Amino acid sequence: MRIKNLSFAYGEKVIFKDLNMDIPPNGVTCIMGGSGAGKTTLLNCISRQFCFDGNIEYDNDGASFAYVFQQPRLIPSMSVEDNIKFVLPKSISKEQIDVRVNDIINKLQIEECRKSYPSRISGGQAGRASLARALATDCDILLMDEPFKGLDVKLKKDILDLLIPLIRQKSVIFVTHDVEEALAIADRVFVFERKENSCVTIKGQIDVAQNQLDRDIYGEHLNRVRKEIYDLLTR
Amino acid sequence: MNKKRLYQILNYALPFVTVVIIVAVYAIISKVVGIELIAPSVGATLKEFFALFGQGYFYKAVGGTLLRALIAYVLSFALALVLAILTKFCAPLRRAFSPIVALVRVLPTMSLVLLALIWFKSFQATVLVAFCVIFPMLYTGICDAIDGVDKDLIEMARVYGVSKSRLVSKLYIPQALPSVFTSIKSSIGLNLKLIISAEVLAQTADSMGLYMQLAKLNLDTAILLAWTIVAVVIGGIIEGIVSLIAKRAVKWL
Repeated sequence: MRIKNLSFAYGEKVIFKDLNMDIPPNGVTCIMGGSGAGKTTLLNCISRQFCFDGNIEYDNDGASFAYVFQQPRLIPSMSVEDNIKFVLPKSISKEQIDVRVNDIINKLQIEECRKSYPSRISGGQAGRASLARALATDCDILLMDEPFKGLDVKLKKDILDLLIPLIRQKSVIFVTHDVEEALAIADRVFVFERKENSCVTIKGQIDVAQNQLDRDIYGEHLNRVRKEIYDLLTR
Repeated sequence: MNKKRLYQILNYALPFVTVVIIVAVYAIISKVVGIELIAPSVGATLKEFFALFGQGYFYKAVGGTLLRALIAYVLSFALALVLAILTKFCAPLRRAFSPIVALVRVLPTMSLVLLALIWFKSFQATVLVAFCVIFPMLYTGICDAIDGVDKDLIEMARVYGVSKSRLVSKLYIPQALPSVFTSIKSSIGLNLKLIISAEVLAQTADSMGLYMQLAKLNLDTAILLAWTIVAVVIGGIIEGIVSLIAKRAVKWL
């Protein structure tokens, strides 16, 4: 994906001005930065929720998106299973939908709550249901906006372990404040910065360059990456 | 007996206890007043109440009142629903329509009844009076219900490219339902009250209002109270049915 001269403002407040970024396909690109640094805005521009100036070139024409939000955003009146089905296009046959939904429910281990309403499931199950909904769409680009916000460490690790094998062949853009999350999942990290009354700049880009499946997040390489990210975030 | 069980029993028993207290208080007042014409005894009132069930006109009157209430409510609800949906998706229409709703809302009910009696026959007049009061209530309630649908969920559906028809049928309608039922519950009893009030003034044939008015003219307070109890019981049954439907329709809450 190539972002060319992206400009966007909320009224008078300029967020992006001629932002340029190259995001390679098939990998996890983490966007980090302080609050108000334009991370979620970038996701909204990429998913065409916002009108902007400039251009975003996708690797496929008519690229499809799935979005995992900070909150699970499950529809309260539908079961977990129906929430997943809700976003699947009408062009898919009922049989295919069933196969796809069963598969993703098994992979994300939410079988026991598939018929439950969102108000009757735990936060962890809701998080996994939200991931299942996104992954069931078989999208080209998966956008994730702090999807583990508010989850405890154990739950976060469990979901990451389930998620990593499922997103290896996808282009993922993952927004987070959490350096450990980024180290666990990212192929590359962009650190955004937005100073007061100014637009967003890319403060740094770090290639993590290590397979997510056998990562030693306390090994020498990732400790170095961790330090680089901390330096960029706190400098 | 554990606390939960006791709570359940109290939950069911307390409304009955309240009714018994009201009846007891009335019985004391009736005894103190001592004049059947002003405050008939509980026994005399209940006698008249049960006697009504043996009268052919009773069923005609109840049926006529319920028919008018049903017509007024269905008309109010249908128009409120259609207009709320139209104005939701067409902001200029909502602005254009708002003064009419505001006007109908503040229109004094009595002026409305009297004008309706001048302009229309009694059947239409009673329906119109209830419609003019209930329609703005329902319209505002349905508009608020639609506006109250979680914006985050709508945004989610848009990101995933969910079609408009699915958005309306699977998101807007179910999400708006709880608030719509709240509006229905608060207006359906009022609808019956308005119909009966208008019938009293319009002296509509085959109506509960007419028989209440006749009882008043004949100074038969016990019969008037008996008809009042009938109206209360019918109102209670209607609200109970609505609550039951709401419970079934909104089972995810």
